[in-house]
Amino acid sequence: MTTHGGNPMDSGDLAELALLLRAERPEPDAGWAARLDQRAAAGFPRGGGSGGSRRPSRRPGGWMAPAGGLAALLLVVVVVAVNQGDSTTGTSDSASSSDAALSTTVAPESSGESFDADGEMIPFQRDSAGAADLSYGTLDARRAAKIAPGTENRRVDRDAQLTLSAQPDDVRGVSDEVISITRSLDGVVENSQISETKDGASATLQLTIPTRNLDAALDRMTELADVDSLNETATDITRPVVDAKDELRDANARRRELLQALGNATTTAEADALEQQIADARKDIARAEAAYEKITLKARLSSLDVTVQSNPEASSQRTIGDWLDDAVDVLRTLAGVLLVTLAIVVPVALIAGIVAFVVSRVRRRRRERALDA
Amino acid sequence: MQQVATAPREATAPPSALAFDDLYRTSRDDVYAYVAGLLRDSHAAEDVTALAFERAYRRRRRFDPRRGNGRAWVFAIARNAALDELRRRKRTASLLADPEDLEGADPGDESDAALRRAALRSALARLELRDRELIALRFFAGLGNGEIAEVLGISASNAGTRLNRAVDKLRKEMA
Repeated sequence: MTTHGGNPMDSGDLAELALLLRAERPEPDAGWAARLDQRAAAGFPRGGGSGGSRRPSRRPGGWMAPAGGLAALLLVVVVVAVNQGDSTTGTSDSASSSDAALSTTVAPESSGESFDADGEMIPFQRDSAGAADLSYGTLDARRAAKIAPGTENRRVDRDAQLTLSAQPDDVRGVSDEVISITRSLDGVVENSQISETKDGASATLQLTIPTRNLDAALDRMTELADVDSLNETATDITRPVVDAKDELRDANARRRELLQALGNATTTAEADALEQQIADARKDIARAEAAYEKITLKARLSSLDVTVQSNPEASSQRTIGDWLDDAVDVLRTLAGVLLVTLAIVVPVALIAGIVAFVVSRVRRRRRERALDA
Repeated sequence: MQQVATAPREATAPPSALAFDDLYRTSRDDVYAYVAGLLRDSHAAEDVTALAFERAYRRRRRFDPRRGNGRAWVFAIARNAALDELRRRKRTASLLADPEDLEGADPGDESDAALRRAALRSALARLELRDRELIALRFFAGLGNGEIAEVLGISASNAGTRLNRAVDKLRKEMA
C-alpha cells in the first residue's frame, strides 16, 4: 500500500496508471523529427527552416553589442579625463622638481591698501564722440567691485628670462620646440635669432605669452634642455591700473561738465572758450584711454626672453633617472585610469547585476503565472 | 528516431560542445513529450521543442555542469519556452481552452482499455497546468524527482510531494 497525498493508494493501481500514462506519451511526427535532426546536424543555422521553430527566436546575447559600445565609450572618456588631469599635474610636478637656479623677484608697489580697482569689471560706454564714460557704473556695482588687499583681482606684471644649455647640434631643435610651445600656449614670437658657427650655436627668442600661461610655458621649456638660469620678475601694478582708470574717469567727468556748461553759455565768447576746453578734454580722454590700455596690457601679457646656448658638456642623452621618472609617470597614469575605471565600472556593474536579478525574478514570476488557471 | 522513456534516466554528461549531439539525441523525444503533454497541442509542441534545442545549442558554452546535469538544463530551457507559449496564448486569447488533441483516439473502440485511455485523456485535460506539468515531466519525459526539482527550481523532496499530489488528483479525476 502506497500513500499519495494522505490517501491510500494501491501499488497495483499506481503501476497501472503509470503504464497507462506512458502509453499515452505524445510522440513527435517523424517528418518533423527528421527536419529537426537535419537542423541540429547543421548547427541550427539562423533563419529557420524545416523542423525549426516557425517563430523567430530572439537572438541570445543581442544586448551585448550596445552594452559593449557603452563600456568602450566610458573607457575612452575615462582615459581622456585622466590624461588631461595628468598633463596638468605633471607639468607642475616637473617644474617643482627642476633643480635649476631660480630667482624670483616680487616688487609690490602697494602696501596692502584697499583700492577702488574695479577696472574692467565696470563696463563703460562710448559717447558719439568716441570718448569713454567710466561713470556709467552704479554705486552698488562700484562697491561690489572694490578689491580687498589680498591676492585676488590684483594686477601683476610678470616677465621672465630663461637661459638653456644644449649640445651644439641640439640648439636649433630646442629653439624650434620653444617656438612650438609658445604657439601652443597662444603666445607670439616677437623676435628670434639663431646663429650657428663652427665654434657652436646660440639662439635668442623674445616671446610674448599670456600671463595665465607663463607658468605652463616655463614648465615645458625647462624640460627641453639644461637650465642655466631662470629669472622671473613679478611687479604688482594694481595701483597704476587703478590710477589710470581714475584718470580716465576724471577726464570723462570733466568733459561732461564742460558740455553741460556749454549748454548754459550765454555769450559767443564763452561758448568758444568752452568748446576749446572740450577739445582739450577729448585729447585728455584719449591719452587716459591709451595709458589705461597700456597698463592693463602689461597685466595680461608677459614677456619671456629665452636664450639657448651651446654647451658641449650639456646632457644630451636621457639619464636613468629620466627613464625612471617616465616609468613612474606611466605607472601613475595607468593606476589613475584603473582607479577611475573601477570607480565607474564597479557601481555600474553592481546596478546592472541588481537590475538583471530583478528582471530575472520578474520574468520567472510572469512565466510561472502562465501555469495558473 | 523514436523512443519511449519508461523509467527515469540517470544524469547524463554535461552538454559541452562535444556532448551536445548526445544530449539532443537522447532528449529530443522526451522534451517533445513533456511540452506536448503540457501544451496539448502537437504543432505548438514542435515549435517549442525546436526553439528550446536551438536556444540550448546557442548557449551550450554557457552551461555550467557544476550547477546541474545537461538533461535538466535542456528541460529548463524547454519549460521557459513552453511557459512563454502559454503566456502568448493568454495574451492573444484566441485559444480560450486547450485544443483537444485527438490523435490516436478511436471512437469505435469501446474496450475496457480504450475506455480507460479516454478517461485518462479527459482527466489530464481537466488537470491544473501545474499538476499536468509534473505528470508530463515524470511519466512522459521520464525524469526522476531530482531532475524535476532542477527543472522547476525546487527541492527534490518538494518535487516528490508535488508529484504525489498531482498523481492523486489525476486518479480522482479518473474515478
